[in-house]
Amino acid sequence: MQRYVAQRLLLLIPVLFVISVVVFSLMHLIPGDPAQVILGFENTDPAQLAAVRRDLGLDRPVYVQYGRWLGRVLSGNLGTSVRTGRPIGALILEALPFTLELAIYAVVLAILIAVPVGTLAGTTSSRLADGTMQTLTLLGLSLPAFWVGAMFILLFSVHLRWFPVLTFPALLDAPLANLRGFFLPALTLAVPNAAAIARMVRASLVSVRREEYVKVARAKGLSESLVVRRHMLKNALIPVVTLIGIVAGYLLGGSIVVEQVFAIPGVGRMGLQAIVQRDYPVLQAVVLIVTALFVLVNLLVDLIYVFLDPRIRYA
Amino acid sequence: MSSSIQESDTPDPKRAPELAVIRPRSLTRIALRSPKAVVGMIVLLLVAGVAVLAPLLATYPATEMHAIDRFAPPGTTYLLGTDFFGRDLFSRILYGYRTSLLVAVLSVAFALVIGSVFGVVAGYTGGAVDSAVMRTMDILFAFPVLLLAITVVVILGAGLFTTVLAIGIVYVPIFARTARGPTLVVREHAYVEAAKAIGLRSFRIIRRHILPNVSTPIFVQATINLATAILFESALSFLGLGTQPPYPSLGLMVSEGRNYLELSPWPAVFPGLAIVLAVLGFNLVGDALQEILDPRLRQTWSAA
Repeated sequence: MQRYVAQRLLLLIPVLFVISVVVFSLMHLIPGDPAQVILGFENTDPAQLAAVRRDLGLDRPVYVQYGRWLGRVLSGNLGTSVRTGRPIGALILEALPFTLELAIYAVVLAILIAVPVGTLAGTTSSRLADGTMQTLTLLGLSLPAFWVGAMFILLFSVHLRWFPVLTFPALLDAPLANLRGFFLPALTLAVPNAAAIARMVRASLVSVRREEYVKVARAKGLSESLVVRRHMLKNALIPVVTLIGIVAGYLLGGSIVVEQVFAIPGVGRMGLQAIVQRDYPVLQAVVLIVTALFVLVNLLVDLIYVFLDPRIRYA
Repeated sequence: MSSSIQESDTPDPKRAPELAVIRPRSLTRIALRSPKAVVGMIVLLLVAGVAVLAPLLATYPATEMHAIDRFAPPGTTYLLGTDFFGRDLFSRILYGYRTSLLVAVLSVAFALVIGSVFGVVAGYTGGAVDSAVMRTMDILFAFPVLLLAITVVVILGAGLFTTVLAIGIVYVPIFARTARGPTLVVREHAYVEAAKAIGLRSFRIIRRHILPNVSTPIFVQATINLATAILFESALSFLGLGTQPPYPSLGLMVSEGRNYLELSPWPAVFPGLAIVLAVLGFNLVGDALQEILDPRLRQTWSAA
């Protein structure tokens, strides 16, 4: 197990390296001259352009630029926003809590929905119940998040007025108001992921149904709910953990759409605004941070998986 | 964006004999016995039909504005009502389907061809080539899909074919993995060994022996990815990074409509429902095909 963990951690280095190269190249692949963008398109004074290029280090060879950029990033300096002049690190720190809370909230909601639904579908003896559940989860996978969000706003905020729109107080200042404000966005993000997890829980349960230990548990005279809980779910949920990891990563991406629908000032919305405003250093930082988070979440989930499944642990 | 959730692990070549070789043609025949597949196919025929026949079925030109009929409710004049500019929603949805299906089919075709070539060549050649190709695919997988697509759009500039390319690139590793698995299994079979022994060229072996075995899983994967590609295109268009006006796009329609939910919900409701219908069609067919290929997914009631 230690060897596996070490291997996974070592693999992280090339992956992060490639990500850094891709993110760095982003600045150079985007059409247009960054110096010109910073100066504004009206200003065409060659001397000023050259000065800005020198400030940005754009007159140096590409590998020197990369080295200097990587050095700065590793020391926590993500540069400054071209539009606001503020340090990008500070901007990200302001936005990240919104995105993380949204993603975590959504994972929790997705699991709360998916595990009961998947368990019911995977253990029921009614063909109708299983079929209904299967169709519903397939429908869940077919829903565009931005539309679900808009429909939730229409139904719960505009018509029923159950939930406030566009209010996201800080979690620590007003925990209840915060959880209420984030409920609809989190649910929007949770729906397709809940459907995916529920299908996996079901498939996993169906596959352990015929295992010897389940028969033994039944033969011992254990109640059906105890058999399901202690013997089937415990084993069936192990592979589901990997899916939850993949889902958690998708939530980071999916939150771009949901943040846009609900006007949440998170990292995704920041990235989109950066595209519109041509604030490419900000975009670069957003891509870097979100991708790094995605890689780390996946690593974490893989490690948890190994820990949960003794067959891998002792292999 | 739950596209690549179904990832196929590399099968153990030593357990090869269980590999179900179902050719696409017989797959279709079996699928006709599944109600899920039949319903899905009917939905898809309907969606594809109205997309193709859009110019004949549309009651108004998709971009024609009717200033006095802004936000008209659904009715006899405007089947599904009108939007902010008084444009007929029904006609716009028909043309929106054209964009959705065009982008979905082209992007999946792109990923299918490139990804399968990578996967088959990597699996058949093995060794360093295999490692190099598959590690590259792993790194592509390391990026969150929507973010990767957005990055491609930012670099190339938004437009129909950028969208195709952005979605296609994201899907390449999925098809590479799907194609590599069965290739590894078939490679070990005696008839491939025999073909090698009599000196057949690799290209011919791949065409005659490998491709027939990988085509079914790839076909199923493509069906599922068509569903997610439609969602993907609509999400990019919703964000303003996909299909650009004046091309009608369902995602863009929802994006425009959601600003006026209190005035009239229909411009946001109907295009969204249209997306759901098309995606559900592909998902129903894909799900039924997956069950046929992997019977373990089916619940059995005999024991219950």
